[in-house]
Amino acid sequence: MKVELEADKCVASGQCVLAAMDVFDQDDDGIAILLEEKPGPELLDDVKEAIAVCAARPVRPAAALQAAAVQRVGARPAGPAHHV
Amino acid sequence: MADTLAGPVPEATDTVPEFPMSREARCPFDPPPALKDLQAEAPLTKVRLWDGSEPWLVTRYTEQRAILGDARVSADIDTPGYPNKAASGGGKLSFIMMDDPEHARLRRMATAPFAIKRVEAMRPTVQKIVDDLIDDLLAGPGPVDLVDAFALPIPSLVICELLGVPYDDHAMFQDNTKTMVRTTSTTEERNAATRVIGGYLGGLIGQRLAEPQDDLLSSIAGRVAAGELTHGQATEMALLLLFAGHETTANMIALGTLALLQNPDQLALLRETDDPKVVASAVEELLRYLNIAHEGKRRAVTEDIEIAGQVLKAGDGVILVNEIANRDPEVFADPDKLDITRDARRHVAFGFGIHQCLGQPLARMELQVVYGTLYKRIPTLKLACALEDVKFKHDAFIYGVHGLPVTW
Ligand code: HEM
Ligand code: SF4
Repeated sequence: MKVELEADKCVASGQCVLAAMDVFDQDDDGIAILLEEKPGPELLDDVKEAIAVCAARPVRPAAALQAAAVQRVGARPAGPAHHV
Repeated sequence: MADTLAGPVPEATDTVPEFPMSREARCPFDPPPALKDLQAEAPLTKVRLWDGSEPWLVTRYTEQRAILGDARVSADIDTPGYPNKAASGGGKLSFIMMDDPEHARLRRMATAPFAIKRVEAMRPTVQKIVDDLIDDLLAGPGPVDLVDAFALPIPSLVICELLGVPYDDHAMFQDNTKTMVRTTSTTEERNAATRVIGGYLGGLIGQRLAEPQDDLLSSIAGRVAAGELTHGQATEMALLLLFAGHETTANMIALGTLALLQNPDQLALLRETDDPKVVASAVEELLRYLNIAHEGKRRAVTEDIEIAGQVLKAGDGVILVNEIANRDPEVFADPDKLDITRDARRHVAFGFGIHQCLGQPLARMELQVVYGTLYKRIPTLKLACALEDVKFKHDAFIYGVHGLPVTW
């Protein structure tokens, strides 16, 4: 797994740090920094959580991981107004 | 038609439901039933506001996150189509009502003290504040109003310390904040309240320009000195931080305590644990369940957005109510149940996207200290009136209780 971070999109919410302390930290202004570009498999769940909660979505996972994270959020098909 | 077999067809009328809707008196913790019905019907629907305008209401979690994360919506109340909360508007409040890049430029001037490590460094101070207030409670006779004696002082003391505002002036900013969040305040009342706190904070920033100290007001004043902010912009930013820093967390403390008292099994789990993870999980679940920022986040569409089979047109207004997104059954199983053991971390109680709450690390830490301490130190804590007699803030942009009589 490879994680990328676009620091200029970060809004310093700190959520990635709470979700995956071994992978993310913050600089003096609260902007996220990557401690580990290639976190091991034992950190996969934490990193997935970080991606899911990141407000500004600057955390970019490898394609496979992104797909897994999106599925967990549970996108719903669009339907007509009375689709239940 | 297949559609008629799939379920009841909504009545063929052109009546657009009025927003906001009322909660049911018997379920003060639950969203208005009419909102849940709209959610079950569709992810997006039109509603009618006080001024006759008809913005979109986004009812479901996935669509709310998508729109809040979309750069084609504006949080600026002057953007055409912005759904105004009340005739009195509420005025602009610094970067919470700005768009990028100016939003980002200003927000980044205030992020440093809210970094996780800086917030963690404040934890012992917050613990001491909480312990001292509980000592005071226990020293006096019950019943007391938990809002005045506990819920409001804690976040007020903390944000004062962080900003560098003298706590002795708390009655002034707390009272004026109440006027600002009351839905029924007139334009004059709201403007007057804003002017009083603004004038006060503007004065403090002037002092910090002359004599900088080690606090957030001084670093904001430093931006004025550097020509990056006008004195007026600095004052507005300080006002946003002071206002958002105390009113929100105070409501979470009081309303959260009431919700736990009504769910004794959940309260017992919290009281009996020594595991900070259980406490942290309870904080997330109570944020998800209570949704105190219940007036809905408001946006205006600046370029057409296609979503869930609809087109939101440039100039349309959008309202995103977290109280139903956080009760979306597709995302949270059995959503109306308070269950502090569930993983609720993905809630949108702090919003989503570029405006996601700046103070969330601080709010989380304060709530962890409070929920992790109060019920252990006062295990017999109980409501000193009937639930029907508790006055809920149906008349405020931020939900909670006006008072909470408790005894032990
Ligand atoms: C439990 C308590 C809190 C809740 C539920 C809460 C909720 C929210 C929500 C929903 C938003 C997003 C508004 C939008 O998207 O239009 C927000 C933004 C904000 N909050 Fe909080 N908040 C809390 C505590 C705090 C604290 C303690 C502070 C400290 C100063 C704070 C400061 C802010 C600021 C500055 C913004 C604007 C962020 C931006 O526009 O970039 N909040 N909050
Ligand atoms: S969760 Fe996203 S926005 Fe928040 S600090 Fe981490 S990278 Fe930045």
